[in-house]
Amino acid sequence: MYTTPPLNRRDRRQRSMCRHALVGSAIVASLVAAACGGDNSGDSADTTAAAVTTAAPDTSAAPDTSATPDTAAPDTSAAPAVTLYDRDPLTLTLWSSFSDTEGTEAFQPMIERCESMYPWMTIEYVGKDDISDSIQAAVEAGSPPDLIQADFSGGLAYLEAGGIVEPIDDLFARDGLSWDSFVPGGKRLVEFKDQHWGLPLSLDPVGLFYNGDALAEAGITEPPSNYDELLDAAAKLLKVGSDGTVERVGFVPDVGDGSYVSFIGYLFGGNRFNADGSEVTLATPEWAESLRWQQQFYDLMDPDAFQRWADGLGSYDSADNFFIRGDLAMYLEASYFITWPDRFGNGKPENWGVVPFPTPEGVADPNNLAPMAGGNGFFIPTGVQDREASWAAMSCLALGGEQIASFENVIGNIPTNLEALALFEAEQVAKIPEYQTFIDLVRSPNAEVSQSSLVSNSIGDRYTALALDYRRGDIADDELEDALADLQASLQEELDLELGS
Amino acid sequence: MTSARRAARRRADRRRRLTVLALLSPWLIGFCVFVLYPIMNSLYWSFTVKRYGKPARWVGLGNYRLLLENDELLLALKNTAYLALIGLPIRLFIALLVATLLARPRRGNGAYRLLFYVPSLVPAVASGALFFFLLRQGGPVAGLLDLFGIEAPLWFRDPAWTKPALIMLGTWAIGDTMLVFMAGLVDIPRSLYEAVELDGAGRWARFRYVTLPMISPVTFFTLLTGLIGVLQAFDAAYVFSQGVRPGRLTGEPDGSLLTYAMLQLRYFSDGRIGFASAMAWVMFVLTLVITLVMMATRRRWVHTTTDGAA
Repeated sequence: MYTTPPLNRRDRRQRSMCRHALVGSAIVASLVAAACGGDNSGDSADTTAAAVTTAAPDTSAAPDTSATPDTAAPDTSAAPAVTLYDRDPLTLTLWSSFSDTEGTEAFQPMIERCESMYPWMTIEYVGKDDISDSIQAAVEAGSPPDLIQADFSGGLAYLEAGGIVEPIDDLFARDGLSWDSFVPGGKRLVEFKDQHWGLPLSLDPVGLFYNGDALAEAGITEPPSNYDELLDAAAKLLKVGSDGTVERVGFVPDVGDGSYVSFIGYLFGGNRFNADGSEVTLATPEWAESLRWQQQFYDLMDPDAFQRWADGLGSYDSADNFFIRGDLAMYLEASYFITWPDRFGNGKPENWGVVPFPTPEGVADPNNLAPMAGGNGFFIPTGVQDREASWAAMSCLALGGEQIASFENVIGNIPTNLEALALFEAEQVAKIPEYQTFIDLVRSPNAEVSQSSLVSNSIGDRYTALALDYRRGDIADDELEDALADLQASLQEELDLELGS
Repeated sequence: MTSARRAARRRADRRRRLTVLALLSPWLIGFCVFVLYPIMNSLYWSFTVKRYGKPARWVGLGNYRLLLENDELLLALKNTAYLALIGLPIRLFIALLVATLLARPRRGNGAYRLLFYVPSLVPAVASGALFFFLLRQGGPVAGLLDLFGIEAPLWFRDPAWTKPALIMLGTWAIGDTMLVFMAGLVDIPRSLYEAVELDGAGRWARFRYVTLPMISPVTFFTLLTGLIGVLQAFDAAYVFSQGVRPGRLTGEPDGSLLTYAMLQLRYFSDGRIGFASAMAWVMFVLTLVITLVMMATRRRWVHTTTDGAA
């Protein structure tokens, strides 16, 4: 793990002198480049291009400062280089959706790197459970933190509508950064209405965890790779006792931490909204088809026996987790679940495996379908005390290589920054080969998080409620399309009111 | 009285009024800033689309119209009404029963009072989690029922049992209501009991004709505050439904745990402040109507003293 020792006063002075020399050189080189009419457009630059404007001259700490000034400074007229390296001390507050306990440890290397790059900068980490509400209230009150890190994958629409965060495209282009430095899914994570509202940190790919011993016991030699095989395997893996009690379930799509009812809809090609979040699109064959497909797994069991099995499951986030205990043989879950056994002290069982979620017949590459459960990014709230300082911290945090890899070792998500992803892959796959499945999913050009709209929460909850009604038979099979159409109409009305259309 | 004296008195009155106002001003300013202004603001917002960070946009009755068409609102109201009409009377009855048993000075009653009161000190979230542990399949209650060959109900998954489970939790934490009833019971003059005993009244008659009327003001108070509490029910229902499927506020299974307050929180979380404000005002009007009906019918069943005080 990379760490930078704290600097004493003399070191800081020496480093300050070096900084002045380097900044001066950069400005001179940039002027020469400008005079020579060099092409300074940001399009051709990669992450290293942030060097002069935002990245530190402290080359030992910043892997991206190796670029020479003439290629590194695309627009020196706008460069805040001098102010960024020679300014009064400033404490920046970083609000994060991770808890204080979890986040403080995980963020430490990233924060140390930035504080070393910018000696005037001190980053104060604050874990916020309710970050979505808190940030909106803080911006409304005119006292936002300097930077936020959160999973806003489903909520960019309301952050944009309320002016809670600001797009960073101007700063991104000015510093010559390139989205080629991130996986395509990372860019999409922070994209809404053709603008980018932050820098991505990580994605949560979803895979099918399987219990190898259970599969072997059921005579299944390979984990399922398509929908029919999954249904077949679920039937074989189901274990019912002589008294009718369900002892082990092969597979069901929504048990545990979050409901994957909506997620399966994405796998079937469904979208909840159109691209700009102005239309609800639930009344489509894909959503109905996905519900009918899911129903087949529940139909394998007596409903009452299944409910009793589900009610007796151990707590999701404990050593009693149902998959860890073997109550469920195949489990649809996000990458962070890999860290569960270590968190609860058991270590990853030998018999675990992970494959991409099975695909429909005829789809050869599972990575063609790569919806993500979510993803984390950094965002600058509206009305921060010093936007340049926030941007310096944000780009420093999001562009670290080793530090982000180290962060993800703790959190269990997959980095979106290519440099960090390569380091993470080299380090983690050797220890836990199952990570490779998730890394491949994140690298997929199709990796995508769900769309955003002003009624995101409402649609998630009401669709889940409809799915449960259908499962229980309160909505008959031949009424499913009508029920989806009714729900769509009702949600569209809510959305129209919010949009004023 | 001379005009000079009248003027002096007026000045003195004005000074007194100003002094009173000055003394009251910290409270008045606090009330206006922290209570009155937010209330009026939420009333205004209920007629707008309001999101954090943006000015409100007037939509007239748009939010209220959507509310009337919202099928989940009806479900949440039904669930809340169930808890109020079935859960609250059970809670009050048991609290009164326990208070009646423990009001008399007997050896060991102090310990029992403590035992019955302590659960009401446990935060609702903690007691919800405790009940979740007790009632789930494979838990202690299911094990106990199994000893007698009884299959435990699916307390958190069968819509028929989820609300009874919540009511059980509410009944467990009756300490505060019990205390209020006990205060009412010890206040009843012994002479009234002695009088009806002379008339040959038995235990039931004593309770029916002396105890119940005499504690009716207390009953009125606990009913009113209990009702308002139920209309705002959130924490235990939230814990129960999160235990079934964490992360959502759908009040599963089948929305049988979706209370009005839970539904309202969802709209706040979605940043739809205008819609959530309209929900708050619907609940306010509903609570006001219920309270006014109770106040209007109070004279029929609440015992009052001759000066009219309850």
